Amino acid sequence: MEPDNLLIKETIQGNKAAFGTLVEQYQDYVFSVTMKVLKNREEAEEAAQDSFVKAYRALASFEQRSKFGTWLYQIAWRTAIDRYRARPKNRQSLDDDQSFLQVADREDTPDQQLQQQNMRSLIEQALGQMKAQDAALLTLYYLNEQSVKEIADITGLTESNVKVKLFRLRETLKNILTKNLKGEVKSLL
Amino acid sequence: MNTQELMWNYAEGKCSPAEMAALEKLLSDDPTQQMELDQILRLQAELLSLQPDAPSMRFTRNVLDALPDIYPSEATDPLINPVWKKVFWLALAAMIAAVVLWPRSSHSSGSRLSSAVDQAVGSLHQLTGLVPDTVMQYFVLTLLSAGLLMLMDKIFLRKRGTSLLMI
Repeated sequence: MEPDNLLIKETIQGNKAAFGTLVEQYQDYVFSVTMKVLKNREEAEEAAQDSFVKAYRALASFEQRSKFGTWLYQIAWRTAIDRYRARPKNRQSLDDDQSFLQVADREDTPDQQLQQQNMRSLIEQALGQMKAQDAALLTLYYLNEQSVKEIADITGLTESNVKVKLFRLRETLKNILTKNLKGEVKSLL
Repeated sequence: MNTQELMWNYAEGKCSPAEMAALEKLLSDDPTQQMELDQILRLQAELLSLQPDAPSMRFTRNVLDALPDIYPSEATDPLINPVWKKVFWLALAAMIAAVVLWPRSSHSSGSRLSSAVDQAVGSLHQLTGLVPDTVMQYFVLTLLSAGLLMLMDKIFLRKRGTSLLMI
């Protein structure tokens, strides 16, 4: 039996500390998903907490057909998307294709640009400029190391759709990086 | 499959031998494509080394505090019935009382302490003489075993925070 499944069994038997171990193990990854969608630390933490409580309530019905992580990310994804959709209409829409480029047009001072000459922080910045759902999709793939099939299970998209989206999103990410530094990224890359 | 897709597949190590050959041909035909491939390889490496965001230090505690009590512990019934626990203590008390209060059959000279010890031993002899030896042996063994188990349980409870016998 996998360690996760043992912890799940113990949790269902009434050992809350076992669930605490699961929380510690997955909290960063769940928080990363909610953070990418909601782009607000406080709200993302609430959504992540909400996700764990939902998972706890539904733990007895977890059939172990998928990995616990995939099942948990699915809950986190839905929780974050629901919270995002519940925001007032004047905020960014999930379906607004142009929205991710709005921030990219801002002008940073040369000093700010120099401070950000770190590829990792540039990528984080670029992810922050992408559509909420898209940044979360890339996070699931690269950070949470979910396969295309698992991402399809989490998001409800088809596998081929996930593949196409991932390809386009990486290209978009590359373009945002290029645009942000107006060509300087080429020398960094 | 277009060139970009081919390069991303290569960066992920998912190219078939035919695709590898196609990419090699592409690079030899157009050397400017090498820069594009280098960019993709670098971006892929950076994406793979991304670190997750961390929530606040109290996150786990907050989650645990918010959990409802929907999974009651299965081992709620004690393994040793509390009635038997009372019986044990009563038996122990009765034995001590019997030893102390049993009519004295002998008088010994000497100090008060040795006299008291002699009296206790004498009382015990008289008391044990009333029951068959085998029964007494079982009684003493049972009493000692129960006492030992309870002592171990107390130690376990103190060290692990949970009762071994649920007593």
